[in-house]
Amino acid sequence: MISDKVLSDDICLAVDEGLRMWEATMPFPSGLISDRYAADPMYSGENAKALSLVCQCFWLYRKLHEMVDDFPIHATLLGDYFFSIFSKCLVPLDSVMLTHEFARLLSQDTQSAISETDYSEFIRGISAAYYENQQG
Amino acid sequence: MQHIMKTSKVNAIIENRIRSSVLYNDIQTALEQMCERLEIMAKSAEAHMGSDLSELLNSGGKRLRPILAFVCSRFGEKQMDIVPLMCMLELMHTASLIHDDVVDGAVKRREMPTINKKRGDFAAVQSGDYLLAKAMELLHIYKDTGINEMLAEVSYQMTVGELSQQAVRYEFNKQSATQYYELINKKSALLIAASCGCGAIAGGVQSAQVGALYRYGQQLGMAFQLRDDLLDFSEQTGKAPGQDLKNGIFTLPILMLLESGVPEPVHRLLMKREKSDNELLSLIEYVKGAQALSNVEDKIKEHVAVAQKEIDIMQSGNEKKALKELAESLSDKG
Repeated sequence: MISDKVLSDDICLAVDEGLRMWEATMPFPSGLISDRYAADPMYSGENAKALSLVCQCFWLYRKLHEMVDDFPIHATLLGDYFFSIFSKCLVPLDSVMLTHEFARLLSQDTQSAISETDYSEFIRGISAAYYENQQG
Repeated sequence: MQHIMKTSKVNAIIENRIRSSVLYNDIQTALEQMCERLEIMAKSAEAHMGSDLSELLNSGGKRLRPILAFVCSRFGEKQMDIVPLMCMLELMHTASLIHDDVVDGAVKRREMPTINKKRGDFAAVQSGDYLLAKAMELLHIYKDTGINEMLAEVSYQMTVGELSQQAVRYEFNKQSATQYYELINKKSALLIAASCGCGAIAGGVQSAQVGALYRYGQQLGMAFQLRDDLLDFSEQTGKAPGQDLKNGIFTLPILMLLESGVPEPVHRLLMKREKSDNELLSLIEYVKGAQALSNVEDKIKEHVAVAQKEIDIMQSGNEKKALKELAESLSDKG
């Protein structure tokens, strides 16, 4: 049984609600990960699901804010919503490394968009570093 | 422009009160340190983004949230560096303003073109997001204090508030006074509450008193937003009133009137989605004549009184005096 002390039912409901609002108001891009969890399945330690949700919500946030020219109101507001859920999941993980890495990535992405491939690599890297820190 | 002017009017009320405070010099010193750090952060962005953000951060906002954090931190004896927290609050608030301008299609803020007007919606949203990235860089300073948790929760509630408001925009039958209170609490009051609460935590204040300062901030925030919404019915700003109404939002004066009952022609006009300027003016006049505004003034006074009562348990001194006077300033029509 995977222990996930930071992940609450409320957070999961919030994500589901956000995805529902997205599908009700804007096109859901094809190829976007529809499964809630986006972290590398190799890592199944404590807080694996919470970390997956951090990664997934960050990506949804960035994809939504890419859409603001076509949907200025809904894409902006829903993107902010997923950013806030990302923050709510990130803070309890209590990792300075994760916070710094996501801050760096966000700074970069706001100025020149990162690709899905780059993001997948990023997730693998931080997941490995996070679990190494946990076991250290 | 309407939104800028009315916000500036409320900010002017607050600024005047802060200037007369004995803490003014200390507040100014902390604000200067905050502004220096914000300038470095803004300028670290590339090209236009850096200059746009620098311009906005220096454009005359009255820094209510960082000031509250500073003052509340002074109640404690074991003080962490408060300037990074002040930066985080100002960054979060400014990011929300940039995004609000995109959502509202605003063309001016603080007498300057908005970023979305200058550069487009995409660039504006990315600029706001860049500020959030800068705020994230400071989180580690307040690790394990409860500050980051409070800010994350407030950020979530703010977005829920914005989404809730958007869902009922122009859906007049779905707007009520109860929902309105919930909305302004989430959208506005909670960040002000968190400014006080987080400031207190950073200052090493005991938890019971942190709670009191948080609730003070929440009541102050409610009064602040009600005062701000009242200005939409005033010509004092120099612009046509009724912009909230035009944008599909019923604020408290209208909601209170509806709940007490209005004549059918007025009701029909209120429910009309597209209102002409003349129709807006006639509604404004009706609201004024029906004493709805004075009812909201009473509500403001109630919130101010509750805010002041919340901090009765705090030790006497300049900080308590400053907070009480700040709350009192919102009771004045200005």
